[in-house]
Amino acid sequence: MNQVPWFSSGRELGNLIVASNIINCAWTKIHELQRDQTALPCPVRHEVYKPSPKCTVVAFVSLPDCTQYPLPGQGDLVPSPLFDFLRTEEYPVSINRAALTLFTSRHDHLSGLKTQLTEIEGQLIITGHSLGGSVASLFTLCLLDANILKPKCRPICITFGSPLIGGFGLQHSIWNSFFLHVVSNQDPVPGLFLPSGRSPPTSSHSQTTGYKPFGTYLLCSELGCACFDNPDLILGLLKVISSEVAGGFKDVDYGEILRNLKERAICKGLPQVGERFADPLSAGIIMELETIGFNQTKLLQHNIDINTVISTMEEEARNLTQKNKDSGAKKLNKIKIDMARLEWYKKNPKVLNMGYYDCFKIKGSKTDLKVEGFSEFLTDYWKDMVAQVQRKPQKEGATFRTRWLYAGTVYRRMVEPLEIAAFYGEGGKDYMKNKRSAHYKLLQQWYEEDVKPPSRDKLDSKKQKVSSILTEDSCFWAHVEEAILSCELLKSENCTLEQGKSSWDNLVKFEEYVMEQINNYAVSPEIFLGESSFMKWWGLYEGYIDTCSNSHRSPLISFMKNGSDRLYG
Amino acid sequence: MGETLGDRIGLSGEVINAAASLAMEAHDSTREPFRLDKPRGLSVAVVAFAGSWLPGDWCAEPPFGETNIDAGTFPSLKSLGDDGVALVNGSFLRRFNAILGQSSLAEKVKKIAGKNQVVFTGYSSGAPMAILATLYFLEKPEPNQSPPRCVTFGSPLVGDRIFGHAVRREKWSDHFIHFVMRYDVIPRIMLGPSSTEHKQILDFFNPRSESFRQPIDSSSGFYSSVMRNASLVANYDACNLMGCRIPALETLRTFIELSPYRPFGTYIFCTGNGKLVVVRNPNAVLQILFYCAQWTQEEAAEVAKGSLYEHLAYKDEIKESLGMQNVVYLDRLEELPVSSDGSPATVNAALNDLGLSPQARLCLQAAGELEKRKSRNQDKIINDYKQKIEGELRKMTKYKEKAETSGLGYYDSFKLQEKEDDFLANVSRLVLAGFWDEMMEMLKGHELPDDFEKRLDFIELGTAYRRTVEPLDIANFYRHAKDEETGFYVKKGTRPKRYRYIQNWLEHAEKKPSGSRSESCFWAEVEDLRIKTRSNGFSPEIKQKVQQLEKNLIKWIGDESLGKDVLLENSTFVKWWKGLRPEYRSEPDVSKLIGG
Repeated sequence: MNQVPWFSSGRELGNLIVASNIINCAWTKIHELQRDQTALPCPVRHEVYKPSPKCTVVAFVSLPDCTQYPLPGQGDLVPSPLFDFLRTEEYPVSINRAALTLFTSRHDHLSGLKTQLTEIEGQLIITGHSLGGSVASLFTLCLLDANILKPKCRPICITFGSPLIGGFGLQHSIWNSFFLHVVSNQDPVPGLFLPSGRSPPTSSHSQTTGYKPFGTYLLCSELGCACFDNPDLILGLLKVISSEVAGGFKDVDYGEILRNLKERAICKGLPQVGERFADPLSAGIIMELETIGFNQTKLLQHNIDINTVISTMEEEARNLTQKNKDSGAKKLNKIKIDMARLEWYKKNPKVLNMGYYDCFKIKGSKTDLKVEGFSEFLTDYWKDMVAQVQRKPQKEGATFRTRWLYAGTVYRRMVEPLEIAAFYGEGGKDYMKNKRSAHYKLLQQWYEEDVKPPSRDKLDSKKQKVSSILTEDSCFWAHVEEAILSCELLKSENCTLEQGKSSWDNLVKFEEYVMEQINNYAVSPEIFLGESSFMKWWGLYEGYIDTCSNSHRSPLISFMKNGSDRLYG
Repeated sequence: MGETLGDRIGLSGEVINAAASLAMEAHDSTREPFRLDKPRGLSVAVVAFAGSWLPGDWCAEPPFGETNIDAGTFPSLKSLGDDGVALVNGSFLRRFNAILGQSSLAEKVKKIAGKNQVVFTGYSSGAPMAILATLYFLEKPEPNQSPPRCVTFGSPLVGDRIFGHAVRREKWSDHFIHFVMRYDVIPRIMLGPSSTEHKQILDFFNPRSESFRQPIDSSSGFYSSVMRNASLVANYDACNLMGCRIPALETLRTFIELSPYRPFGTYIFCTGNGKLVVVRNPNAVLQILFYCAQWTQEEAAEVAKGSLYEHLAYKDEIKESLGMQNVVYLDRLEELPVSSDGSPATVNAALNDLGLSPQARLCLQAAGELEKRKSRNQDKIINDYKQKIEGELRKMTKYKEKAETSGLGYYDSFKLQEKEDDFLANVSRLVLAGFWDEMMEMLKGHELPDDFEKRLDFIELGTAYRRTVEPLDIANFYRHAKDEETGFYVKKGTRPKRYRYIQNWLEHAEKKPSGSRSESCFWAEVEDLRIKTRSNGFSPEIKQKVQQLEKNLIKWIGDESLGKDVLLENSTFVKWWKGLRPEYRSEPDVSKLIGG
């Protein structure tokens, strides 16, 4: 295998950002708000601007005191129920106290702002400087979580010199792409709350401190700028910056920095050490670091091992390529092949006078064991797909899922009955409540959101095709099993009056449900095969009605007694 | 003396010099839109076009003035996938259409082309006319004539990415040679939106303007504006070339307005010291357009001034450079030296002469790697997938034959899914779909060479695949009654991309109208009409559709693009057609087909 070279485009992305208007637009409004003398001195405030009809800017600024004279305990990481939605399996949620206090103090104002933003379309830039930027980030996270922006509204959050806001894992979330943090290598504020950079380095900085950067960082020096998104590397760099410039606290003028960078972006670069490296990824990364003022000597001084950085980046690049390969068309077709196998399996057992549901339940043949193997594979695949949708903001998730929702529905209708069979085969009770996996529920919910109820003329053609369909309600068999259990309970001697009543109610409801399914041609005719669980239920039920000479009558009873089931399908 | 530039690009120095002279002369002509000349002693005819400095002739509709190219005049300038037709600068297209409509260009060229190689040429805004004229004649090749060539000097960009892709797909790229001086502002001007700076620049060149050849106030202002916009496009494309893994890129994309225009054809950069640097990779050309014009703060004023005056200096510079024959070809971009003292020395010197920084060189490497990756992907398809596809197709053909002997036809047999053969065919269908879908994904992601869709072997294989397997996809579709959930099979979004694309390939190769090669959808039409004719009423619209189906059937059975299995006695089609109300049926030939 020949090695495919990777590249690092941190400087290109950085130059793209500084040459575009977006970042100027954000900074201009912050600057405007900072100079606004009419406002009351308040630790943090915001303003909404509309620089053009298709662009809205929300700017946050904080008083310089907050970062110049931080109170003890401001750097603490504290839990917050407000941000519980950020929790992932890996990370609990903890937020920087200073940012959280400011955010909560503005909570009422911000609720109003949220409502205001649901109306807008086009570009939405949420921006802030210093702790104002931290509040902007927290506000943006709430906005993304509430999912209330119009589909045509495109948000981005840009902070300037803002301290880290906490520790939570967002790297795998698409939300990560909405955050851009601009940090000058002369600005100690972003690393303000980190333990001193002089503390002994360890391989995993983030665990020892609890702070974890997220989003993209645009780090700048006088020479130029570059983008980074590896949290550990960013953390290391911020630490160095804050430890080096600490003491001499001066105001960093981001306006001036941006002006300089804009000029730099079209100027010839200076000769760099990185160019000596033959491999383009190493050369790129070393030059990126040089550009933002981290030359080899400085890195060495601060125990940042460049080789580790490079190999981490290489690993990331490789993983991403692999992931893209895995989610491609080929994989989806492998899934379809397994579905076809399952379908073939489903077809086979009819000779035994029972459907595949019951066949699997009694595990009568060798193929059944094989079926278990690939239905497991399928389930893993679809669980992952559902999880991917959930990690995305709703709109994006919706378009992502429509591409495969049909296949997902076939999967649900085919595989869930097998799961139900296993569950009741082992003596389980109340599948819907105790066992049903969340991914089935979501697949069903999405399908129902997408599909309109069939019209009359469509029913006719459904009737024609009913013989080959999959039962539409993937939980049909769970209802059948529950009905059997109800019958058995009714018949047993130690059935209390109360139990008897609720069982009877369940059975009446079940009858109505089945009749509706039959009328809609939504169940496969294989439920009427002699040995099926459904017919077992019918036997029990018919017997019960007859023995207790119950005068109960229903459309389903007539349907079954008239032998209409033999005409169905 | 080794191979000269002339040998390499197929145009001698004399022809290029003659073209340069005529292009500069014709550009200023106000009386005639083009000039045709037969330079003495040369076997070519040169056609050169007039230009214009009016801002409306450069960009009529801000920001970028792009428009869909008209498919009637330029049928090839489109993507064969879903991306649609190419975008071109609307002002240039309008001016070209006016020349075509109001002058005798077409006849004059046709007359002379029988005896001479025609070379279209243009300088500045005359160049886009030459480019469009060349494409116009490439689109309608005449037998026994050598295809036209095009040489431009200081041309602004004309078309978008699809435009360039289509030209490369048709293998016309080598017909276009663009000379560009290192700092010339005009080749970069279309990378930015129409602006006051653009007007300043055009006024500087316009003899009728008050500011004609007057120093521009704050001279560096216009240049940094042009360069900043160039940097946006170059950096954005570079991020993609390098496979940028930072997800913020896509978010930012919606906040940044980028010019749609991209270079195409062969570029020859004049370094200013007599050296010529030849670049054919379009991504690399874009990067060089930006990076070679970067300045240092000390030389700002000088470079800004130079960017205007270099646009006026083509004729002499080219004559001199062609005389020196100091030519460097940047071909194996992925092997370029990153460092300014790297090797090979001649290549490195050329990069230094263009002032390309290590960062620029990394971008060029990435551009080279992308092309390499594209051809690696193609190799994988040719060396591996092709055989596997052929193997599965053989299985399918056997399945088809076997089903035919049992009298039902493979379409209906597959739809019933009763035998193990049907199940195995379904697995084959899915295996094949896996290969083709992966190829379609590569095409959509621009991960295959531009001319992949023109490869005859794959058009042939694809067509065989489409005709054999698409009926099974249709059977599967109607077997699961998917029409009730998603509607008719033959529509965008429902019919799989793999079949739509492959059909487009064939129609394009045969120069047939879009939709004319839909024989593999025959069964979907049958199923659709079967549902529609179920009710009792009579509709003239349905009658028309039935008629069309009958006509197509006769045509396709005749040219063997549709299998005779559809005519088997028990096939869905025959059963439906026989049961059809007599007033719907109109083709007695169909009865004959079925009977025979």
